[in-house]
Amino acid sequence: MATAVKTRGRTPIAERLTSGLFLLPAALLVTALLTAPFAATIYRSFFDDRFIHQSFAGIDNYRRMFSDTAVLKSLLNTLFWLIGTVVLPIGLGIAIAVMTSAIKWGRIARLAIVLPYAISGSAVAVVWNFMLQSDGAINKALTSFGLGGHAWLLNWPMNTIVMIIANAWQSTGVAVILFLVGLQAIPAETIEAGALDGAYGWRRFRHIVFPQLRAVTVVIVGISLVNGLKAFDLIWVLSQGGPARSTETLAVSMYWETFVLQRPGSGAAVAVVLTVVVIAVSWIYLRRQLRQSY
Amino acid sequence: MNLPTGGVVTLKRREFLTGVGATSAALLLGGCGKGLQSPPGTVSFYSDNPTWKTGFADASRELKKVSGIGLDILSVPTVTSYEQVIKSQLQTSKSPDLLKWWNGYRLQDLARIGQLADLTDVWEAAATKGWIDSAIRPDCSYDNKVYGLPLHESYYVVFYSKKVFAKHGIAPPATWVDFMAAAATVKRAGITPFVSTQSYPWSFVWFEELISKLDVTFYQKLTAGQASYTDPLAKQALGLWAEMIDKGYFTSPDTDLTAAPAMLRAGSVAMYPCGTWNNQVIQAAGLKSGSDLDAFIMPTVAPGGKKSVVVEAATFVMPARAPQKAQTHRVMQHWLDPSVQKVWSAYLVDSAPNPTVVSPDPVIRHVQALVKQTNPIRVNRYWEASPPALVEANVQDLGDFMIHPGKANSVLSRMQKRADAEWAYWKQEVS
Repeated sequence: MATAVKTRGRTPIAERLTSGLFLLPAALLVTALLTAPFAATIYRSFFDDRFIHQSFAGIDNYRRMFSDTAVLKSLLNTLFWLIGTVVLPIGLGIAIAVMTSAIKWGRIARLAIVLPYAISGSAVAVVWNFMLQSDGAINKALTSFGLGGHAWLLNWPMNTIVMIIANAWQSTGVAVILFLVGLQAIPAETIEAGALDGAYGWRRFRHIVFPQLRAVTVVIVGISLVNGLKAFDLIWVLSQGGPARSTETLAVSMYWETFVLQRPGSGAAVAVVLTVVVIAVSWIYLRRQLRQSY
Repeated sequence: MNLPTGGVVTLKRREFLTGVGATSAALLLGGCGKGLQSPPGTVSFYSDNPTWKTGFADASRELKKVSGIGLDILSVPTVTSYEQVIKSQLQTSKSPDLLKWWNGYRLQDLARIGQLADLTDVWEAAATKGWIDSAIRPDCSYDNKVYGLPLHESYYVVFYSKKVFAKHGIAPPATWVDFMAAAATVKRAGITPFVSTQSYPWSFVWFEELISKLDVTFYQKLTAGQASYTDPLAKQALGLWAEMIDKGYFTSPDTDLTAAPAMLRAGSVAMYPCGTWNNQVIQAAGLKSGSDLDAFIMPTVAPGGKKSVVVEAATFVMPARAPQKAQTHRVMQHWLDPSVQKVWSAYLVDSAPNPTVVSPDPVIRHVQALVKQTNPIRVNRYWEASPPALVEANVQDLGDFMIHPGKANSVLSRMQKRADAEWAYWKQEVS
């Protein structure tokens, strides 16, 4: 680090200017497309909901938001999504990748699992809606086996849980691909050495394979965290956040307040809270992981 | 720029930068350009209903014949996106010439901030010719000025399968007792009596029907913010609704309404309360108007109660910043012309806003005759009858009630609490 600082200190001014010029387009784009809208959103969140002639509202939008039971439930659902989108795709992804990597028909099994990743979130929602409705495919199948049906989408927290499962069905594919890449990068010698020492099955996976998948796991957890926090399309198409706003996540609440209720100030407040959550989770996770990696 | 024949395109750095600059400037200037460009002889028209595009095109051809101006139709497929796109555009110089919009408080929402053009003269000229039903004028007005012309005049009726009714010896019910008896009869035969769903936003359909059929004056006061959701009448309505839910009279609360016409055709449900604008969709499922399908107006709960019918009239509105104001005004003057309405009504298979135009469809003709014969009080649909934010949130609560009918009192209390806040907010915004 000290060397880096020293070197930077010696960089000729012309070279630094040239580097700055090369950085400028990216910096301008980030400022125009990310930083400026974010600053505008923070600013907007302190004004009332009128479309024109807004007045300064202080922290009213935030106060109202945290006293709204629908938004509090949305915060809780966001937490569920965060846990669900990390645990399920990663757990299933690693299990499927490991179990199918060494078998002949593994490629076909993997293809079947990866395919849903190519479908848009809205299309996935339409398919799952067909399956989860009270008179949908799942209940019809259960009934034909003599088991009772269930109102999957009507009661909280079951509706949120089934949506998380639907999301996992789609997103596990990418985890499988990334874990497979990770598995291929593991040197065969380490496996062979383990085998010579009598490490097979779970012990081999636990002590030899899994530690070497660490880098790829960091990436997949990062992707899953972001996916969980931005969950929107599947929920919106499946339930529009209902019934009674029980399946909303913060991203859906933001949309609901801003575009359905036409309350831009309140929507901006939800957006700011969502951004704070995203930054906090990413920062805590990446800081911890990067510190351990380097 | 040199383009050597048959060779590779060579591009000097300066030429590349000039090209990039010119393209950026063109994009920038294009983005800042004024107004929406519609082809000559047309005005730009935005709609949230892509399925009506053919009908609008048919009407546009007739409009062109009588006014010399047609419609350049553009549809935004989802309602929420449509509202957002339009509300953003109305504040810019990119405003369209003409819009499909709602009536009532949703129209007032735009009119009160000066974003719509006054169409009072057009309405009055049409009224003089007998081309418009003056009963719906208040729903198209704000501050005594008209801001919208009706696109259709749909009635909320109960569509029913004539085959199911005939098979079980049921006549179209004229009283509430008959209505409930019909439901009980089909239920005993293993048929679900009514289509119903809590899927956003349709939970209001049974709410508005039950309240207005219990006491139409109370419905008018409730939607105007002059009565309480915790009133005994509202509790009675939800009590009645809960009783019907308990008896298994409704389809599952998560029923997909797009499947409802097929259910009616298959005979798995007997009745489908909805707006007559749905007539076209129901018939598309294979039910023949008049022979397989008919409709009646839901009877009042108390015998001798004031008859009423819920009306929905989407509107044509002209933005205050419409780029082609004179041409759009001319189009509006001819929209209610019988020759245009005849074509439009035939496409829509619904009631035209011009009362002189008789629908070619047997079901609609029957509904029009019922309205003429019983002269019910016309009330605006719940969706448009109160401030949008209040309605949007209340339909979510009604959905909750449909799943948990035991929650009636807490749902009504929440709705009233919200009504207090939203009416205060609406009035504050107006002031």
